[in-house]
Amino acid sequence: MSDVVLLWPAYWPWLLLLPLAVLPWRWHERRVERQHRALLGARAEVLLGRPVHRRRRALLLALALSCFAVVLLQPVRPGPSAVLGADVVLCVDVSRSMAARDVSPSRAGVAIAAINELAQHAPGSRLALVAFAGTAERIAPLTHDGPAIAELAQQLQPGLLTGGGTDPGAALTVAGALLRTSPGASIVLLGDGEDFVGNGAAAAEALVAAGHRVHTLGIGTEAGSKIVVDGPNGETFFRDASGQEVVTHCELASLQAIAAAGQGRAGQLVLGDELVRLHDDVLVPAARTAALRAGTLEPVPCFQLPLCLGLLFWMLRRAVPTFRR
Amino acid sequence: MIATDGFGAVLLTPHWLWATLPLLLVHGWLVRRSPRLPLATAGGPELRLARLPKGWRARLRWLPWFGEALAILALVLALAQPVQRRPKPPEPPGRDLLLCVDRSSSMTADDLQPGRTRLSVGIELLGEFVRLRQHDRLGLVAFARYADLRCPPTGDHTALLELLQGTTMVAKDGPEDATAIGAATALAGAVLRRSPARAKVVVLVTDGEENVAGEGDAQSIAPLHAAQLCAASGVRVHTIVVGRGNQRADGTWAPLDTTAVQQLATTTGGRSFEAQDRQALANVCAAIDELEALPWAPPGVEVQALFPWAIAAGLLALALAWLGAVWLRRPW
Repeated sequence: MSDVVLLWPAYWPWLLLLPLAVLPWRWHERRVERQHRALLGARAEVLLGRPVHRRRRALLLALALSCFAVVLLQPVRPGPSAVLGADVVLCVDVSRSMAARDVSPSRAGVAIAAINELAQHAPGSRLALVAFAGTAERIAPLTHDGPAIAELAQQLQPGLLTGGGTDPGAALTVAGALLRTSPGASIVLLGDGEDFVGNGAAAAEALVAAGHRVHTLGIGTEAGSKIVVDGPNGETFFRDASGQEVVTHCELASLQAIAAAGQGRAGQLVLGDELVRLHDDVLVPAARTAALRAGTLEPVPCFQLPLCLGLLFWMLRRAVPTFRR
Repeated sequence: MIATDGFGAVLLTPHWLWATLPLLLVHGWLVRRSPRLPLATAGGPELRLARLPKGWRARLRWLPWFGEALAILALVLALAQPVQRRPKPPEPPGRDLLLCVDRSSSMTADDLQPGRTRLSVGIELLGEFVRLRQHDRLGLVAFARYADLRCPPTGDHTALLELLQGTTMVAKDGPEDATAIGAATALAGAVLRRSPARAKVVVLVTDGEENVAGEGDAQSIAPLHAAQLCAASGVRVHTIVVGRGNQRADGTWAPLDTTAVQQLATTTGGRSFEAQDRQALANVCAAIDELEALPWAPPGVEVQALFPWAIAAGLLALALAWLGAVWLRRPW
């Protein structure tokens, strides 16, 4: 039952009025009773009996009409041969701040490990990779080849792209270009939430208008840490122009704003399996629902049970006596 | 005529039609149980009442029950799932096809087309080849001394073309300037081995001979070994040797030993081609396109559900039955 989807056809608002048909039926019943009393007078109850079970009949009628309304909403589920997967673009932050080690082994390492796990776990889905810092670059287009994605993800190290800064909006724009033939796809932004340009939410809204959803997974802690870089004498901490060691924080609020604009979920990579759970619990069901409604996935109708219930309630309404002598 | 198979209007679950008669019998019994005004019998059976003329309401008193019976028929028909089956154009199954492109410095020679490097001409013609393979998933491996998977097999040919056009040559005499045909073929074979496609093809484009595996590097793979790995995985390799060979200092061309490359193709069931100018390379790409012609696929079936109409007809019949009861002023 969990994979049953309602297709919500265009006429669905009218179906809300269907159970209200009990009201005119009740008006008609009272009218007939008044007619009997007018014809038979005081003998009406003797000849016909006392009216009984009005509410029971009204309830059965309302239940029958509600079942018919559910049937007209066209409940369906995917066929047994359907391959259940989703189109997912993974946008990975490769800016310098991803070298921070507030999570083990580093923020970039956590992102790569999560992508590896997803690539092994999701054989029915197509994955694409986009790397971003101050600019964004496509690493791999949508492909079913999970091991190839895992292999290409190894190069998503801080400093992969030239130019500083962090621009998630550019990543979302590149992701949208990869999804031009995949309606109803998902984008997952993996990063520490820094947005130096500030157009991440606007880019997410544009993707929603194109029929996609944007989710975010934050990496790092709000307390933050310094950024480890390679220096001439080994590892050292990154310093800004004034010589101060830079402390980078995970900006969860920024990621939540992007996810809210993208009508998606915001989470945080803590245990490492959050990306897989997001894929299984959110992305695949959303892709399946979108495919059923778009007609690209062959649906199996599930209206028989509510229709049989509706007929049963209808017959029971008929069987309930109207008068009792 | 409604059938249960084939094209046209069919019923997917016709066994529900057996419920029609029992439901109509139950409905008829419930109608007979409906409350009626008893006739006045005070005068006894010898009292003969004159027949009163019947109005329309009396003549049509059966209307609500008839409407309900029609509704039952329509809803049972909906349970039988009437659908309209139409033939759909066939969708031929695609292949997974990997392009292996040599980017060693020797690809700068302009013997294929004056003023243009072998690599640029090859990229242009391979791009046209990609545009012909609409039903295939294509990927890209670029190699010199090392082989890199630039693009896994994908249906996004636009992205692939961008990656293909972005392929650049390695620096001449640099640390990566060599030709590892075996490693490239082995990498392509490893990628295609895990592909679920029924047909897996590698198209290898090179202008030279293998000069990495012979150096004694334990990690290098000879072309013949790579061919055996591909053959074991069901991967077919077509090879294209472009150019006239290695250019000598005096400007003449030393012909290549293409034995290894030809063996690579024949071992895997593919074919080996040579192209010494642009037109010949275009002909080779067309020949490979024909070799890997799409197989025949049976026509598909498009199914349009008709049961929403049956359900709507049933509800309309119920609504008309109720309106009839209202007009006739009868309980319903």
